[in-house]
Order: sequence, then C-alpha cells, then structure tokens
Amino acid sequence: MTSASASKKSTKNEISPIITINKLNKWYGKFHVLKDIDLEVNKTEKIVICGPSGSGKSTLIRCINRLEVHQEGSIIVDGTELTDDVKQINEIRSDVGMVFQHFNLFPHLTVLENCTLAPIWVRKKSKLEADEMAMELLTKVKIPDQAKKYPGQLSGGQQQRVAIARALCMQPRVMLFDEPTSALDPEMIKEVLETMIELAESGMTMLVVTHEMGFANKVADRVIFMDEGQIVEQNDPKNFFNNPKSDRTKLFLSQILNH
Amino acid sequence: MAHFFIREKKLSFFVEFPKMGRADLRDFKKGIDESFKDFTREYGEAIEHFFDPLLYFLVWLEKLFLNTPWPIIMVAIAVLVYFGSRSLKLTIGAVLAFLVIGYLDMWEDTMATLAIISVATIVCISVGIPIGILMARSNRAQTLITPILDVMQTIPSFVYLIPVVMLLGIGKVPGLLAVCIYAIPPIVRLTNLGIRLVDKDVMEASEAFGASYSQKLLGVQIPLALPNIFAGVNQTIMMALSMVVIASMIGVKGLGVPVLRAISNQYLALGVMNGLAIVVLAILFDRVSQKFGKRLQAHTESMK
Repeated sequence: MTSASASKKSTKNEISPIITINKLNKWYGKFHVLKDIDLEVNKTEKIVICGPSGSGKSTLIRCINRLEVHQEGSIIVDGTELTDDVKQINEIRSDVGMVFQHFNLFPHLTVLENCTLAPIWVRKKSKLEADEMAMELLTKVKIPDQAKKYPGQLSGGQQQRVAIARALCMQPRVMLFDEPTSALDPEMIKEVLETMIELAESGMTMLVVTHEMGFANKVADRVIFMDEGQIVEQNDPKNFFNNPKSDRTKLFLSQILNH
Repeated sequence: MAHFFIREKKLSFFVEFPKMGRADLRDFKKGIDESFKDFTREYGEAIEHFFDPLLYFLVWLEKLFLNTPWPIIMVAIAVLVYFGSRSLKLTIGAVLAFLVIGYLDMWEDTMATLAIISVATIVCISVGIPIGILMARSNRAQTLITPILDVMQTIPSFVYLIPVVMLLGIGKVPGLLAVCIYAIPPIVRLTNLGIRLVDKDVMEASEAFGASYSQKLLGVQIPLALPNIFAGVNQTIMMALSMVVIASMIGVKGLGVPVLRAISNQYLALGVMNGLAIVVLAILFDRVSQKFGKRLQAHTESMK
C-alpha cells in the first residue's frame, strides 16, 4: 500500500481510513471479477479508479455500499463491516452517497422532491429542513431555478448535477461516483466535472470511477489502475501519468490519452 | 377395418375410453357434495357473520344512494366527475346521461348498481393491491397465485356461484362475492406487473440511500407503478359492471334484475334500456378513471 505518497496532499494530520477493503474477492458465477483487492481510503482522500471496461472498477465501488455482494474478504466502512445484516447495510448506505452513470433520478418526483425524499424518509428530517438544505445544495450545483421541474425536463448535465445534490442531501461521509460523465454529451461533461471539482475542494472523501484523466490529474490524491479484476498500479497522479510502471498501465494510458 | 374389430370385440381398448365405473363416479361426486354440505352446515353461519360488516356497509350505501334526493346525487356525481376528469364535456355528458336514466325510470336500479359496484371496487382494491405487492416481492408467490387468477378469470361464473350460494344462500353478500371473484384478477395482476416494471436503476438509487423495504415500496415503487395499478382499477370496475346481470340471479338488486326479467319474458325494450344504462355507467367510470390516472403522472407528460 503506497498511501504514504498518496496522503501527502490531504493535509490533515489524522490519517484514519474511512474505508478498508481487505482481500476482496467476487465472482459472477464462474467469472472472477475482483481478485484479492486491498484498498484503504483515508478521510478527505480523493481516489480516481480507471481501467479498461470489464476490469471490475464499477463492481468494486458498488461493493462498497453493497449494491453488489462480495463472496470473500472484508469491507469496513467507517468502522462497520459489511455483512448480511440489512440494518447495518442500510446504515452504511445512508452514509455513503452514490452517483450513477445514468443519473437514476426518480422520474415521478420534481428535482426538489428528488433531493428531499431520502432525507425525509430515511433521515426522518422535517420537510422544511430538508427543503432548505436541498435548495442550498441545488444552489451549489447551480440549478436552484430548476427545482420545480421534473427530471425528464432537464438536460443530461443538469440531471447529473441534481443527482450529485441529491446524494449530498444525505450528508454522506463518502461519495462514490460510477462513471458520472460517461452518459453525457461532451459539452455537458464540463459542468458536471466542475461541480465535482468544487466538491473535492470542500474536503469530501471521493471514489471516482472515470476516464476523465484531466479530472484525475487535477483533483486526485491517488489514481488506481485496474485490469482484469486486480489493482495493477496506484500512485499519485503526477507519477501515475508521467512514469507508469506497468506495461498494462502504459498501454492503457497511450490508448486513452492519444485520441 | 374398425367395424371388423368392434364386431370381433377385439381391441375394444382403442374404441372405448377407459373410464371410471358409473357407480364409482357417482360416489366420487356425491362424496365431494356431501363433504361440502357438511362444511356448510358447520361453518356456514360463521362465514356469513364474517361478511356481516360488508353487508351493513352495502345496505347503508344503497340506502344512502336511494334516500338522498336525486338533485343532490346529481350534483355529487357532477362534482366527482369534474374533479376526477377535469373535463367539462364529460361532466355535462354524465349529468345528461343520469337525467335520461332517471327519466326512463331506472334511477333506483342504477343507484343500487352503483352501490354494489362501489363496494365491490373498494373490496377488490383493498384485497387486490396487497396481493399484487406480495406477488411482486416473491417469485414463489407469483407462481402460486398466477394459476389461481387464471382460474378465477376463466371459470364460468355459474360454476362458482354454486358453492357461494350453498355456503351463504341467496342475497347481497354472495352476489358481492361473486362480483369480487370475477373482478379482482386485473388489479392483482397489474399491481404485480407495475411494481415489477419499475426501472431497476431507479430502485438501485433508492437502495443506495439505505431505504428500507417499505420505504422503497411506498416512496418509489408504488408511485411509479401507479399508472399500471390504475389501469387495473379501471379494468376491475369494468369487470364488476359486467357481472351485474349474473349477480342479480342470486338476489342482488340493480340494473341486472330488469335485464333478467326481460330475458325470460322477451321484453326487448326493457332489456335494451337497462343494458344501455349499464353501458353508460361503464363508459363514465372508464373515462373518469382514465383521465384521473393520466393526471396522476404529470411527469410523463413533460418527458417530451
């Protein structure tokens, strides 16, 4: 684990891992998706996970809030290990925000209601309080004027920013991003990335699966390259992009950067 | 060739179906009849009492509809239709239709029919939606319940009238039960289907928030399944209306009674008039509930 170089950027002195993944293995039937993954994520750390499609990067972050069930190894989030205990799972899930590739907004609710549903139902907040916080966060992602609209009336970029605000409304300790810009038109990627950069600057712990290497270079404390279910290489962005060690990383970077 | 074999009494196996002996078959049927009769004698009264609240409710509603002066009912219908559909045209149409019905002396029967349809719909919704939810939650429940629904929808209604009448006699409750048996499958099926059709991605989002089963169900699944559930309610009402005539055979008052009289006496005009009154009710229920269902999903209107 090379977190010594990684945690350099996060200036806080207390380096306590908020997520600890130990010897994680997962199979889809006979297909071995994740092989012996070890990973520690410190508070306020920003990690970008990249790799070719099918390398298991999405599966890995989906394991963290148990949208996928792992078979071997352990995942400890904020001191609680993920087991079959539904109550525990739900507690962890409510503390871990997730942003999906296809936004997954609730189509039957307005933007504002999308943001307040979980705080009201799961966190038992009053409607007033939830509304207030949702408007504040919608202002942060720069779409307070769309609050009364339905997701179907918004552009992809706006929908994804709503999804980010919606996740933040639960005041999560960690944010997971599963290819948040892959389903967007090029001109909308920028607005979403800007939102994410702002979020990163506010000190949120983030795990981001993305192919946006510019974003990785700018905000990541650590870049992880995955291939065939394994973590092949991890390093701070500067070293990762300038002198990758493994051949597979070199090949991947040459493919993704030279087009 | 065949003649040859029959004459020779050879291979009779191929000509005659190997059936149960006549005496055995009689005993078999008798056994079932007797045991059901015993069951009726034993539990009939208890079951009847079980349905008493339903009977009181139905009688109360019928009396309410019949004893309220007709102009008040008319205003109530107009208000309900308008707030259901938000369509002035439909409201005027409904009022006109009911004026014609009253003018042709079908008011009382129509009110009685309205009462039983309302009660049947309430029963079907409050029983059917939970069953549909159960089916959506468990595949095993689905495989168990689907064939039962198939039977309920396809078995000739006269066949289940027999045990119902044996058990509860002739009257309002058995009629109501018969209507419900026939009318409940669509709401169950469409609730199940609607919940199962809810986008997996959206469900995943609610899971990612740590929502419990009931939170997911009430906050996301049912609201998104509402258009389908509503289609089920609509179908249930339609099927309940189509049972009105058969229900009247076992003592339910309403528009079915004159239709039955018309059949046995060959009164063409009486039959057609009452038949059309049923049609008018059906169309009204259908249009209002469809418009209402459409308004429930404002978000799909704005998708384009």
